[in-house]
Amino acid sequence: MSLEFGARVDATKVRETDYFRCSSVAPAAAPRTPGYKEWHHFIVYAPGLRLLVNFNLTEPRYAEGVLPAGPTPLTGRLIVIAERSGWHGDLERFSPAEVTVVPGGLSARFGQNAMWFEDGAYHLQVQLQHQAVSCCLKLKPVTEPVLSNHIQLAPERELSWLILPRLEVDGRVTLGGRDVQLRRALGYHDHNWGRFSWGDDFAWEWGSLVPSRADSPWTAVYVRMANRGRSSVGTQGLFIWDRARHCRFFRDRDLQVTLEGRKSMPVVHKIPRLMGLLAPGTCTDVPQRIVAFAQSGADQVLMTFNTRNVSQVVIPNETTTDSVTLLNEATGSADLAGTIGGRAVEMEGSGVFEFIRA
Amino acid sequence: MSSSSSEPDGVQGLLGRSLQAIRDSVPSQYAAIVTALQHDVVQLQVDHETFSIHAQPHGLALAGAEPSAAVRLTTKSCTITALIDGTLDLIDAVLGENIALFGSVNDLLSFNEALSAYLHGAVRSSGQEAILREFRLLAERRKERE
Repeated sequence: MSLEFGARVDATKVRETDYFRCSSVAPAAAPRTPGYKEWHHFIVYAPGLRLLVNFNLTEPRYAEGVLPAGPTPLTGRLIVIAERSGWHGDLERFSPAEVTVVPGGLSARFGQNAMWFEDGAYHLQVQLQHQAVSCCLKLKPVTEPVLSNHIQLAPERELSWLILPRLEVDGRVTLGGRDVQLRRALGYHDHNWGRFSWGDDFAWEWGSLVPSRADSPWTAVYVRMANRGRSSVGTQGLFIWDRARHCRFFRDRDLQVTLEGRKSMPVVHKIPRLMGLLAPGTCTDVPQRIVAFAQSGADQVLMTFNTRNVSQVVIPNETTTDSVTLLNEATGSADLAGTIGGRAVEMEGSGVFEFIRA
Repeated sequence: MSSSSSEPDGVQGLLGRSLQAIRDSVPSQYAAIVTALQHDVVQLQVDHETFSIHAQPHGLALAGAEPSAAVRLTTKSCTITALIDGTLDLIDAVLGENIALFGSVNDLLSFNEALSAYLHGAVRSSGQEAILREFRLLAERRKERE
């Protein structure tokens, strides 16, 4: 899936908006409150391959009822999930001593794994300890970033979100000893930070949509925040980019969302693998299809995502000691159709959607 | 929790340390294990090592074999590592006779509650990764001896 996209983005603009809001090495400069989390999320779309890499910082869990007196260092979690003739990947944990983050910068090191921004591109160097999964990637932004600050998840719980929906990816992914070379493949990146606990009263859905045609100018991101029972939607939106430019944002009442069916899977890959014992079975509560119809003024777009496959990240809840949150990572086909500013919107492509179920 | 293990580096010793870590870090889950097992004695046989778990007023106690235990579980350490690594799931392990379980339905349900409470406590308590590393080494040593 190489592109003849032609768009370039000012790296300074990316660098000015995307930087670590918190750090494990300078607690005095970045005071923390319990529940702080921050992560950089990357997706790679290539023929026959979907790769998810997540550099995740979180406050360490504490003994029940004992909260830290002051700022505390953050622990690291590296999540890698690859879909290629089956699933690969795992979640690996890193102690504060193994985590280095530059405050206000855009680089992190978790053990031997690293991400950094240099020469206008993100770089990832990842090698799982217990699986033959690694990658060495360069991801160059070709769309402008969009920043969405202080999204309320639950009372006094919020999340900020920076989206870079389309990047060109070069490099190598190695799965089980077999190399996959990437040249101008597609990528997605977002950066999230905020204060909340797994198990709080929220459930989110978001998805990245990219085209399969090299010359398609369209890229989109879908998001919907609801309460845990999904009986009440707090906010929802569909962001659309035309080449590098963020051209349209349909929000809240502009959107009618329908979740159709339930995706049935014979096997669901779970990470960390141990957590499969606490979340056994193949139930994912992921729809077979999402349809979102967006309309505002004369502009309207129909977004469709059809689920193909699902893996799960299983996280112990922090609000209780006997439950878990499931992060369902769904891959599938995605398309857009409609009109924006008198221009026809037509995109057939792929998507990676995440459905949180607590 | 007390233990009469004669092999501190065996499964009994490691389980004792694991339970103590849960008691220290996640007392609610430790209490849930005790509650689930309050009416039962569980005998575990892992490879050739056999021991039992008793719920007592002050907590859990690990002791020697208890052939009359309400719940008896027999398995191998390599089966436990396969479960931890996700290469085998619990249902398949039981149906495939990699785990043998004996007990009444009610006792087995209580044991399942205790197991679930143990797992929820283990993933939330510190020190378990080092214990798990020791367990893997133990499983490897025992497999080599077979």
